[in-house]
This record gives sequence, C-alpha cells and structure tokens, in this order.
Amino acid sequence: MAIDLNMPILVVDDYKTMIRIIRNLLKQLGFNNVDEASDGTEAYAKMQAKKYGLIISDWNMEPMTGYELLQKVRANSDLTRTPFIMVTAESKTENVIAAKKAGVNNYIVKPFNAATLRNKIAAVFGA
Amino acid sequence: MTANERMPGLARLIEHHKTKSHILKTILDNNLASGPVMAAGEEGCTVLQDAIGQLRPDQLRRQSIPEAIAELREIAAMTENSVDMIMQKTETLMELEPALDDAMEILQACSFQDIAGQRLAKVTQLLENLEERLHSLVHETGIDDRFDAIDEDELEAERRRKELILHGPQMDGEGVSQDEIDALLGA
Repeated sequence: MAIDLNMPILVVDDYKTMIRIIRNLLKQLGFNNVDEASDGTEAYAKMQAKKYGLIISDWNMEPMTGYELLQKVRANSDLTRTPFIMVTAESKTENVIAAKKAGVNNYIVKPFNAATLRNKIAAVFGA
Repeated sequence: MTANERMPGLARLIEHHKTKSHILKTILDNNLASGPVMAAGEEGCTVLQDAIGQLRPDQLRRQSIPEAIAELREIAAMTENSVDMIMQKTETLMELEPALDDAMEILQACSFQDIAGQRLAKVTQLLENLEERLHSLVHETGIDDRFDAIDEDELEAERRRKELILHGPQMDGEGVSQDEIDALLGA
C-alpha cells in the first residue's frame, strides 16, 4: 500500500526541539503537510477541526498526556480510526502494553532516527 | 568544566546532606545499640531533635534547595537556547545543501535536549517535594537548625566557600556585563 505523502500529520510534543526534529525527519521522508501541538488538549482540539492522516505524539505532557489523548481519540467515533504513533523516552514494558491496549498503532523510543520513523510509519500503513 | 563547577549549589547540597545524614545515622545507630530512641523517653527525643536540627532543615528549605532548583532551571534554559541556535544554523545549512546527511545527524543528536530536559524536570520536582516536606517538618515540630555541632573542617570549608571561592556561573540577569567590567577597569 502506497503512503500518501500529502496526508496531514499532527506532531504532538511539549519540547519544541523534538517537534522540530520530527518535522525535519518527516520532511526528509517526503512529508511536508505537518502541523504541531504542544500537549494533548491542543492536539485534540486541532483533531476536531481538521482530519489528520497520522498522529505522532509524545507521552509525557501536561495537562493531557499522549496516553490520555490516545484514549480520547479511540473513544471518539469520528477519530477512532486515526493512525497513532506514540513517541517516548520511557520504554517500560507496562507502558508499551498500556499503549497497545489503548489502541496505539506503533511505539517509538527516543532518541530515534529517520530510518526508524520511516519503518514505523510504513508498518502502520502496511507499506 | 566539571558538573560540580556547573552546579556548585547542587554539589554543596549533596555534600551537606551526606555529612548530615552520616551524623544522624551515627547518633541513631549509637542509640539503637543501647535501645530504641523512643524507648529512651525524653532523652531519646532530645537526641533525635538535636540530630534533626543538625541537618539544618530550615536552611535547606530556605536556601540550599531553592539555589539548587534555580541552578537546574538555568541549565535547562541554557541548554534549550543553545540547542535552538544549533538547530537554526543546521537548518540553514540543510536549505543550502538538502542532501547533507551529516546535518540531519546533527539535528537528530539535538534530541538529547528533550531527554535531558525531562531528567532535569524529574530532579527539580524531587527537590521541590523535599522542600515542601522540610517546611512541614520545621513547621510541625518547631525544631530549630543547629549550628553548634559543625566541626572545624566544615567551618573552614564554609569560610573558604564564602570568602575565597567563586560561586559558579552567574544566573541570567545577575552579575555585570563585559561592557560594565570594561568600564569598571577602564579597559
């Protein structure tokens, strides 16, 4: 399955540095339609105003974490099928299991490179 | 520059804790060897109060811990600013030479700021909790800081620190600028 390089992607992270890195990695992979949000609340509001093809979200954010955002997205019938990749510096087994149970499509541990991001996106879209 | 030089406040706080915890442990060990502190009644309580007083909880919460927190926040802010500058310059290079793989690797390496920032936030939160608990301890027990049990070496180290040793990098907005120094020296 070919990946639509023009699909809107929402990157969610409370660290501007990380958003910038992911933006540049996505640009290198050919994705140029990228929006950003600094926490789950802002991301959820943006998701209700615009349909995204992929969410790439950090876990550790306040006031709404990436995990809570994932739960809200999966509980919303309009958004429930949106592909969701969790990106976090924490790689505890219980976190990965919790994210999987909540319906995450893939999980990336920071720090990561363009190849990892490309592989995970490809896996999500079955490419 | 070593980590201790970068964070003199934090290094001092850790050293202070080590020394004082050792004193408290010694006192408690000695008392426990001859019976539990509480079983010793009023005398045991006095010993415990003295031991806690020697930890100087009020000084820790009013001065040492806030200083350490300020140092950590300064590190986080300084790192963020420096990384921002590195990324800006790297992005400019990438616009000029899009196929520059090294530039992309520099950007990826900048993710240390996110991870280091999270670790700093964790330690800062720990210190804030400690500060709050010490406040409750001082408030609820009324135990005063004790300065009479400071040994000679500690006094000398304190005197050197206050009178002779520089206190590490200035915080943002503190100290004087190079222009002001030049003006002072007429250079």
